[in-house]
Amino acid sequence: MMQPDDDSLIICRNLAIGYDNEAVAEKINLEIRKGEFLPFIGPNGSGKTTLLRTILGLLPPLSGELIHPFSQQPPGYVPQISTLDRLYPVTAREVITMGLYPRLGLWQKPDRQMREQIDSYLQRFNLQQHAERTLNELSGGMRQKVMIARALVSGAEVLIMDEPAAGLDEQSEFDLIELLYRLAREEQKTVLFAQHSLDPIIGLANEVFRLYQGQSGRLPLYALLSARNLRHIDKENKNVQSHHS
Amino acid sequence: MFNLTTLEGIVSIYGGALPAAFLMAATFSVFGVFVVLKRMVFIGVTLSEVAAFGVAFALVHGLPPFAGAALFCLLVVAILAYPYEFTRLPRDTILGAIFIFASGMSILLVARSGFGLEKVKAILYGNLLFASNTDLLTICAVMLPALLAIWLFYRPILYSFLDRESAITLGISAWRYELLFFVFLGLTVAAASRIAGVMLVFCYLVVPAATALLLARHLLQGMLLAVLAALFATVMGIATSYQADLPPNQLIAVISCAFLLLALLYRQLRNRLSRSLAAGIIMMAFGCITWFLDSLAAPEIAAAPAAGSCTIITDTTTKAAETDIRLPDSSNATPDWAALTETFEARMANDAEKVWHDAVELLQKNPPPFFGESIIEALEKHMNQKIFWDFSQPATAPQNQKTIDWLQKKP
Repeated sequence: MMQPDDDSLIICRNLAIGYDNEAVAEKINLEIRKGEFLPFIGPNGSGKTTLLRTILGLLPPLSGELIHPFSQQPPGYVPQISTLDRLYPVTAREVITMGLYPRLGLWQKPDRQMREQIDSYLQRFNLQQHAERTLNELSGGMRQKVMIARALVSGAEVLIMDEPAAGLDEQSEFDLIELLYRLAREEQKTVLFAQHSLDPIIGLANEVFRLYQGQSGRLPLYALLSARNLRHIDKENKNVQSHHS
Repeated sequence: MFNLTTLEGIVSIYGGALPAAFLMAATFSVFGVFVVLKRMVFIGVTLSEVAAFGVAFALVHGLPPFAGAALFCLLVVAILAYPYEFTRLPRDTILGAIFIFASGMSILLVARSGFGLEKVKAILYGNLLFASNTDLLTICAVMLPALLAIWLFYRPILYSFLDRESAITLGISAWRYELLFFVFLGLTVAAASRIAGVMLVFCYLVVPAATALLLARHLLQGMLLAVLAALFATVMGIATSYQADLPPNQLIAVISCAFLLLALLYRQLRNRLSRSLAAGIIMMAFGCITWFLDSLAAPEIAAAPAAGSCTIITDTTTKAAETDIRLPDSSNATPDWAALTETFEARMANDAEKVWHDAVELLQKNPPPFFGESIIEALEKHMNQKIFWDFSQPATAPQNQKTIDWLQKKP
């Protein structure tokens, strides 16, 4: 049994996750500390998104225990970029302002401090030139940054993202993951995200949470990279052998 | 198209239908912006069809039309509120099945009711000309609170529609706002279905919103543009309908589509030419449309009465007004209620005193509810007071008999 640390933020104990009482992954034990930068790695269907959605409270856990502080401070959720419909005529600034809606109520306008906060995120994410552009006029990477900024202005301490770099080109993917890493390191934000490719997180994440064939656990990133390299070498050897034969 | 005589004529013919049409246009175009953005255009046509079925059901069973339409629309909203994300069938498929069922059932219901083709068309396609004071009151009672709700809850509705799961994680009850939106959508469609019909409701929900979204850079701007496009199409449609003796609902729908085409053209031209040149071309195209609509005026009506004597009667109405109201001689023969009611309504508008006894005679023959309601409405309009009639009871029932006695005593 895990002993929770004092700075543990999210704790999963023997958690089973899935849909309609059909488990996708079971016996998940995970403890996430404040300010952690933790990618969730695994093949398609391994349960990365299901686990993140369960942590967010969008799906009920099938069994086990899940402890989180979200009733006091809601997390910032950034869904996959494809879920944000570009048909909506809303500007980058308007989308970011939506993060303030719970604080603003139905009709209150953002005060000066709030507007400055939005401007600072626009500047930090290099979006100040694009603040008045609509979703349709922003690139995929920019839209993703807008959604991260929206989550941050809501005051969220925990950022949960479902494959934030999906659909982005390689450079935008690297830039985005680095931005997330800086948020964890410089602002002590807890950053959890589902990720397919390992390359963008090399040098940034020490550990990953791996889900694979119903099993799950933390792994040092280097162990995963070594295994990947070994598989790659093995595959290359087989190719060479078949070529010779 | 917009000279003083025309405007006076329109006001005298449409009366209460005008504010009803404007309110419908404004409300549906605001709702339509969200319907188009949510990519749920199919819900518009399904709800309209279900409302038509509800109206037909209510009329056959002697219930108020709005009650029938609202009941069925709310039932559909409740069915759609079920979370379909994790089911084997997507929501659109369920909507499709409901649409087919409602379309089939409305035809089957009216086929068994003895309504004529014209009345079936009236139920399914509606006509602004048929708007009564009750319709106007129902529309105001439903649509004003609906607009107020959208205005009040604009932010949470927008967030829930744009990014449902993020809204939920931030503590916004997305399902509650979605339900609120769809309940009001169902009620507004139900309130409008009798006079707007399936096509005009669907048109108002989709076309002005699509036109506005092609041009707007902000959502509020888009809503305002949608309202303006719908109102403008309504004014042009009604004016052309008056001048050219064409059905208003269909004209409004076609003019709305012409606006959409202009918006599409403007977007294409804007990318290739300068904004001002594109706008100039669009204004010219708009001028051509206006000229074309103006040229549709029927010659005999164009040369009709001078200002002040605006009793404009359509060709069919004139013909009906000249015809006698004759019930079949044999007691077993089924009267052509559609023709009789149409003739009665036309003559009532011209010469109420002469056809007064015909009204009483028609009521004594137990007309089907839809036609009975038309007769009562025409009498109420003429007398400017409410007349009691229980459509679930025969004419010989004591309450109805009392009304007949009272009517017979009237000059």
